[in-house]
Amino acid sequence: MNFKHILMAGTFAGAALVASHASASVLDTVKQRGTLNCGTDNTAPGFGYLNTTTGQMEGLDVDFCKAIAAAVLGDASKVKFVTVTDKSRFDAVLTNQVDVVFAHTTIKPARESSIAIDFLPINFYDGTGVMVKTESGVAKFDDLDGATFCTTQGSVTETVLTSAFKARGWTASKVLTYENLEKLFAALNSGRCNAMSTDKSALAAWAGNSPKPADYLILPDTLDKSPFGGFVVANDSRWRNALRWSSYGLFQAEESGISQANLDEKLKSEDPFVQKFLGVGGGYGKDFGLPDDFVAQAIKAVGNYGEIYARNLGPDTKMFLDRKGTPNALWTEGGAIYSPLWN
Amino acid sequence: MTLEHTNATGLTVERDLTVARRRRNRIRYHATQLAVVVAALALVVLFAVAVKEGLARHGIKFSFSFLWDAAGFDISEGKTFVFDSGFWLGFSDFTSDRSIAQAFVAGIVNTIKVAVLAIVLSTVLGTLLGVGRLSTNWVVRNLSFWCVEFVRNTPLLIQLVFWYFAVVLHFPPIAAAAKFYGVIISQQGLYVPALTWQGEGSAVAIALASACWVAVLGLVFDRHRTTRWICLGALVALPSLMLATGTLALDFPVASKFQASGGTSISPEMAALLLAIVFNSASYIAEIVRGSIDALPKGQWEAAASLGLGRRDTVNDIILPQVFRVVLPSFGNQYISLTKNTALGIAIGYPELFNIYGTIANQTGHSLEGIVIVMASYLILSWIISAAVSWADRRLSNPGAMR
Amino acid sequence: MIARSLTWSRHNLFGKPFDVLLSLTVIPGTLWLIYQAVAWAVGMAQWDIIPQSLRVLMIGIFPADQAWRSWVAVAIIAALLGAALGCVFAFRTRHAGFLALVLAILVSMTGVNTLAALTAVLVIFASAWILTSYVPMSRRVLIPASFTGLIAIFAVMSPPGAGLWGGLLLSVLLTLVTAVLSLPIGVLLAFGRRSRFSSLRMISTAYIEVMRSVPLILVVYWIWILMPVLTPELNLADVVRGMVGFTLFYSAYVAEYVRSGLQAVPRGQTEAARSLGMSEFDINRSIVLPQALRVVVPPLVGNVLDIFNAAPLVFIIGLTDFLRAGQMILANPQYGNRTYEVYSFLFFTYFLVGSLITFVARKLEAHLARGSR
Repeated sequence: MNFKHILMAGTFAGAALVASHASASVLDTVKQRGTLNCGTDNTAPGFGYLNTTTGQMEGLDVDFCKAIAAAVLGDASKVKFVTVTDKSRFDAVLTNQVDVVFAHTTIKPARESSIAIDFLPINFYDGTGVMVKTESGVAKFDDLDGATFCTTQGSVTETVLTSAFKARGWTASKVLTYENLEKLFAALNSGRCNAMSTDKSALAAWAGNSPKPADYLILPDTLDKSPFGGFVVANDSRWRNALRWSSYGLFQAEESGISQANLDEKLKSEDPFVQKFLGVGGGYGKDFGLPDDFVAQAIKAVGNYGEIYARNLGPDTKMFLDRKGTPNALWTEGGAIYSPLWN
Repeated sequence: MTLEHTNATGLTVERDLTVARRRRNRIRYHATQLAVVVAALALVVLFAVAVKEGLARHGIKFSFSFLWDAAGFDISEGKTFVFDSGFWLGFSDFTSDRSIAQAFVAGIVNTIKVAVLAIVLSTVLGTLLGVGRLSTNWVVRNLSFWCVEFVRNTPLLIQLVFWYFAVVLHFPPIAAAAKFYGVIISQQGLYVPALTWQGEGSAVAIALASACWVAVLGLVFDRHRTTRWICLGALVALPSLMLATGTLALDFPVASKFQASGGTSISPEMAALLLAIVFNSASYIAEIVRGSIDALPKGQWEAAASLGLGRRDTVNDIILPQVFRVVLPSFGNQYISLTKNTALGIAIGYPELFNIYGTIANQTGHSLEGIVIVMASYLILSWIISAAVSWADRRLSNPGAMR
Repeated sequence: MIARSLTWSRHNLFGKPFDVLLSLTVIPGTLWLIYQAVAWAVGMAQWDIIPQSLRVLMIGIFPADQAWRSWVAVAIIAALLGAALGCVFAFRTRHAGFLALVLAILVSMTGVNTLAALTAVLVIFASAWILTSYVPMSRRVLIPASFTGLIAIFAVMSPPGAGLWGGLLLSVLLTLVTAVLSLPIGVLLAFGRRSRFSSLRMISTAYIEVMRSVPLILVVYWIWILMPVLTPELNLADVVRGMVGFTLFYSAYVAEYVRSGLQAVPRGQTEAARSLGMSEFDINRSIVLPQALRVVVPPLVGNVLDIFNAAPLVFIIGLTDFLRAGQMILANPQYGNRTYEVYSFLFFTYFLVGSLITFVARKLEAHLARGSR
């Protein structure tokens, strides 16, 4: 409790009365610090990946970090990427090293109930898949009795595989865990692992980026659904709400046809909803402790959800993950990307 | 007393002064002691309170009860203690329905497994390299020198990663691996035939097995040379007898589609970790051995030469026995750091203690409690090693042990 | 000539039957290995990946437009190392030729566009070396200068964010900071272990023994988790927390080296000083410590090598050091088949730096042994 906190508590005495414990929200910390510490992976192509030729971070998760920085601080360059692994990501947010984590993390109840984190809206729908080398002649999951499966340490896949073995009564199958995906892929290539198991999107990325994508086969079986979401430390609803609605803003922007390209034109729009949504003459931001134009800033930085998806995962990228017919399409097109009502 | 007081007043005053000064010094000494203790205690309490508050702020509860929950994850290899068969303590493979505590035990067992093997192998290899550096053969001398230099001047982690990804994983796959009298070397692991117990509860078989143990103990602990030879003979004869009568059988590994079953196996991860640690520690041990050979008086070599001893005999009978007496404490330090180095297994997926801790911390969120357990385990391991080394040291410097 | 080489080989290669056997198996084997390695390095290896990813290897993901900051840091490091070198070995003209050779090799490896920067760094290195070689006064300011230098490096490198430090520069910085900071803590611990006060003795001993019994990777990970829990206001960067972990760990090792040095100081020295009426503090500071430190300089330099070799362990807290940077390049599936090229380069660089440190340590040992005679 330093002097500044006391001063703040005094000034906002009313607010302090409402919030029973006077601990400040991460939102205030971020604004005061002027930068956003965002935890991402740097070995997951399409999500969080260091482009070694440009030295820049790229990916869906990275773009979400930038969007949040733009929404909260008005400047997408005020984001500091902190590398987290599957193993360290929860500790990183619990111990305040990062303000938020976007690291292809599966949302599941045990994580919110026992690790003291709160999840943000789902930003990608994935499922646990299994990839083998084409030359192995394996066509479906049931062919793999007795095989060695490899996965990352600390991921959901570890327990998913264990229960899949149990359900099938396999006793000889083994699970080998590495601390990152690049080692996993190397182990699959060398033949140490008969199968590599992680989220299907990551499997697609590694196969698609390899010199010979035809060497790999992603089995049709989906062992488990895994919806991805960012997360923040628990019991900080101001921060969580600000981030939730920033994410929803990206979904709504796509639905309302507002993109990075037509943003300037939409800012002059006469439509009262668009005006309020983009914060022209008063918007939604103030209630969350954000600037009124937070959605506009986020769109200016990275575009709407559709643009982020197309840039990092779409058919034009090496990931080659088409949105059509998957939950990742907008709800108006039969998918599950859905923003609550704004007005 | 009274006499002193009356007759030598000046002397008493002086003595009183000395006593007073001594007392003052003693008080000052104890006050400082007390201050240090209080400060240390305050620091510990402050630390504990800060941790507790920090945890409370994040809604984390500090408790060890998670240890008894079912693990729910698999470990690629590892045995643990089980209580399945009632009162008796069993020892069997870890499976996902065992408890978290048993997962920790499996990690400790894996760590000890690698550490013990590495201690034995690196001592042998290190002594060879150390003697090799002083060889009269130019090639051997230089090769040993450059091997030691290269290993000591590069990080262990890169050596480990190299052994694993560039060497062990380039072995042939199990289907194409060469099979040599039941030994299979493949990227799925190294398989060798194993001895299995077929004697069930028969009294003769148990008596034979106990005799074997007695022979082993005799070989290790008895100081008479003849008794040792007898024990060694018994150790050859008894198992052959048991094999012949069928109380012991050889279990050959059989390759199947993805891996081999039967026999004993070393996983690729363990093989790579062992290779990296053995070569690394051997280089340090070689330096210790070379250093202490250099430190021996030259007269030892000259005396041996004047007795007409060959170089090999000189090294074996004169130099090395003296060296081993000197280097044991340094070896002990090396063994401790070797055991600590097994924690790098996490980089290649070997399920040693630190790696399993990582999995547990992730699946349960109890990272701080886990750290306490892991730290205590390593402390105990280190203490065991230094106790063992100082026991061996005492035994070696005991005149009765000298030949 | 031929006769002499024959005698040489008879003595050194084929002295005894066992030697003959050894030579006949080891020589062809070694030659075959060397041939294979050279054939691969010259013929099959595609080395273009090294210059392409050199920046990532050297400074990790540090922004390219801020690269001048890393050059400044390198210059400060060069000045400090040069000054330290000058305290022991005087600069001679022949060393200039050697430095020119180093420059030529570095430029040929990194390309011409870094010529000016590399030259500047080497000139700074040489000037610092010359300064401390010939101006004894300047040696006194070395310790404050190294602390100032480290602070300056932090100041110049921090603006883009400490989370972005990486590559070989991070490995070197981590090593330097740990080496410099662990020295005073280690000295205090060593004195604590010999203190008159049993409580102080026990605490120091316990600290040293515990730190020496647990793996470094554990200490680093533990400090990394615990520091934010203890001091949520501070919000220290991963790099700083890594450095704290390394410093706390290596202080225990430094303490043991210093303690062995303290034991080497003859008792007569202390007794003589005490009889002159010096206070305990003064005796320790100006009589015992300087002599002890002199003895332990070579093992302390060896300790620097240990720190440098342990630096890759920071992968556990998500930092991108030199080794991790190399692995990250290989993580790009397009470069997946360049494993051996990248690892060769990493091994080569590590071996070069490691051998240099070992060389300095050995020279120092010889130098001090000569000096004390």
